Amino acid sequence: MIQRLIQILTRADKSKNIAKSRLKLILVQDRFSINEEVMQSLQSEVTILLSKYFTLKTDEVEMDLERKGNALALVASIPILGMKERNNTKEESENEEPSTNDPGMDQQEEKEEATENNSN
Amino acid sequence: MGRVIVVTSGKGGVGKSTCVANIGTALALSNRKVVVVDADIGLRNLDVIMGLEGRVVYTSMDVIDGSSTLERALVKDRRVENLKLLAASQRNNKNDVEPEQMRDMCLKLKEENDYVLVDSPAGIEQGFRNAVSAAEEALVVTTPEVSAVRDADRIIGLLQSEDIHKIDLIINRLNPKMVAKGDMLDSEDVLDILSINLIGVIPEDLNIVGSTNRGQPLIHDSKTGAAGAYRRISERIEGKEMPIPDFKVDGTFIRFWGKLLGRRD
Repeated sequence: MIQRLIQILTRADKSKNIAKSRLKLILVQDRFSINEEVMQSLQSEVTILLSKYFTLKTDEVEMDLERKGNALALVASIPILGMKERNNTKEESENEEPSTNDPGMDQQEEKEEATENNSN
Repeated sequence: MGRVIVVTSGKGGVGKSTCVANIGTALALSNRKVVVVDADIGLRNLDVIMGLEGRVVYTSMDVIDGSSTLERALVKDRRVENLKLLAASQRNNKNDVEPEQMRDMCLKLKEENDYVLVDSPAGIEQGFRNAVSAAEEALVVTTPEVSAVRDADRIIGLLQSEDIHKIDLIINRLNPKMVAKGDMLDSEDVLDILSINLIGVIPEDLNIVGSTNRGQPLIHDSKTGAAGAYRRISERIEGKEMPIPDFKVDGTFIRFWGKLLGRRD
């Protein structure tokens, strides 16, 4: 009897709470999947931005939304061929990284993960 | 010049047609000229819910192909002054009507009436596009269930992309006892997720079944429960500000603890 009371008092698994958290996750996915074009333009814009700094294998850039537990993650795979030489005359104090002049020599893969938490 | 309001939901079976029948009747009872339009071509049911099925002679399809005038196709509801139905054809399907044709009809109806309520079919295909073609406003009907709220969210997105920005939400079939037990989403939960304006909450009311059996919208016979909610929605559509009751019931257990703690709510 007492056990039952405690169970009622501390019912964390109320089905409405489950329903609400499921819905929130479903809708994040739905709202993203409706906008396939948005995903495409995000990918091309990020590629353009990163191209300022790196030489990329642009045709192998991949970006996707993946479900990670209770959140949605933006997972990107961006193969880098090398650093770009920055000819920015305005910023003299720029860190001069020795850039690889022959791309393709050291192929790296960068993984970017941005987790979007959909908490209240 | 009246208002064209589409009543839609995405998911089927959430009570769109019942809402149209009752809200339309409520508006007509407060002396507005109302036409309810069944846009569910091929699967019509608004006529049955309103009890007018025996008097349908012409449908919107007949108006489109010229075998009837628009005026002649309207079925008058004899119980209420100023309430008319434009029925859908049962023999055709949704692709037999173009959005422009539906739009033209609704715009003509709008000239002579205060309200044109369009009962949209479930789904997001051609039938939906027909139903929204003339609408400037929308009532989105949902029930407090995961699948219905999900579809409502999709529909809200589609309405916005159709340039309809006055969108109000109706939460139908809310069971206060289940809400109190934590076994049903309450209106706050649904609003939190959909974030649009709430225009009414309709409590689950078993009398709806009987009224549908009889073909007499509940609002004719009752002032409480669902009928009261329909009436309040119609008044909010008319621009009256009235609070939305939250239909909270305290379970015996909660009441007991409430008393013990001296809490009153």
